[in-house]
Amino acid sequence: MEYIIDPGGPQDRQALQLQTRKRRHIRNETRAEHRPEQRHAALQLSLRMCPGIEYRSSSAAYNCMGLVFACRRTWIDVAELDPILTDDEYRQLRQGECPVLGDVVVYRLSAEGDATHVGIVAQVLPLTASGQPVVKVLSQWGAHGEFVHLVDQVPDVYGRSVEYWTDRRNKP
Amino acid sequence: MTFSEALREIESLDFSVRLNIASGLRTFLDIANQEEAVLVVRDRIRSTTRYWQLVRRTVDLLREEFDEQYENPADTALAVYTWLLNESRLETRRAPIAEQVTDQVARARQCWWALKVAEMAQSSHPRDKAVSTDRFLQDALLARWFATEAKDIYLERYRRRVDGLFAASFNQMGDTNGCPWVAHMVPSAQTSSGRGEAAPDERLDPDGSVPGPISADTHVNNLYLTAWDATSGVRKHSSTL
Repeated sequence: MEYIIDPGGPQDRQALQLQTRKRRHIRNETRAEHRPEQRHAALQLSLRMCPGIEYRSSSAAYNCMGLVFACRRTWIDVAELDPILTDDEYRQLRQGECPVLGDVVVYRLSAEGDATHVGIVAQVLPLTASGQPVVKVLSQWGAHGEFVHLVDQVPDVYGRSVEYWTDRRNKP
Repeated sequence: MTFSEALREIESLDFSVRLNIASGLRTFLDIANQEEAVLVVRDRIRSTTRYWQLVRRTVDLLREEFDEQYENPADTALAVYTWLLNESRLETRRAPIAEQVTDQVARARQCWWALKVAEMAQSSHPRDKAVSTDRFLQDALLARWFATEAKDIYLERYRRRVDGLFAASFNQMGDTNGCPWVAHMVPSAQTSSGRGEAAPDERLDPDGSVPGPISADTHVNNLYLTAWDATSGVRKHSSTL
């Protein structure tokens, strides 16, 4: 039986060779799948917590970070988010700036708190009367599965503080 | 909620599902902290009797059979129990048993949160800093590592990791971290001299792996450590363990 020194680190042979644009290793680990009954219970809980969300897929092998930054291949702790956003030159959208398809949504328990969850903007619907766009997000909820949901339609444990980040660079 | 009911709740599928919505360890522990069953167990294990019941239950869970093509169904419970046992280690007499249980949890198969909690518990204890992973080869830690008192600590902590150790990993870790030290740890029986004095290139396969398997039965007495300056190749420290 093997025990890995520095699991998920650059020398972990089971970790994917995943790097930021600045070639910094992104710590990652692949997680075992859950039993079918656990997957089923997780789906049911998610649907009960947030009615109206659309189920897409279920796997415990990756988390929200793995979905957004590693093509669903591995699990990346949310603590890795800030270095990735910095190295990949994401910028946070200003207040009132409208997100577009493909931008990244970051959830925090409070505005100054640590990130708890990330997702990808999947759809931006026309502005509402309040002037706010209706944003739909694709995200993986822990080990539960992937869902398409309204931006504020997430479990309470992810928090209600939402930021949008983009890597868009050149305007046409 | 009684103590037994709380344990049953923590080991239930529903509990595991609720906590597995977390994407990181911090959120996992935040959710756990809001669970009534966790609060009950935390409160009750102030009693020595209950504390030992929790220890026994943790060990029992570690022994339970499960289908290894999936994650260990006791992963969440093991994580929470390990966390609570280590919180309670502040009472001095409990520290050794908390460490022993944590070491066993750190070896558990197909676990996720349990391993992360065990790793967190081990690295939060002062004596574990000598074996912290990415800080492993910093000069100050090496100095502690080779100090007599630190060596014994290191060995004790190292036992759980020995089977999967790759000497090359240490070598490369030193390089990539810009550390001037290179350290190898290999079974002395696998060096040409048998005294743990082989040159670096005798210890590594071309691909950088340890020559030959290191079995799960390898004892720390069969290992030795050498550290030398990566630039000059001058050996700085050697220690048979």
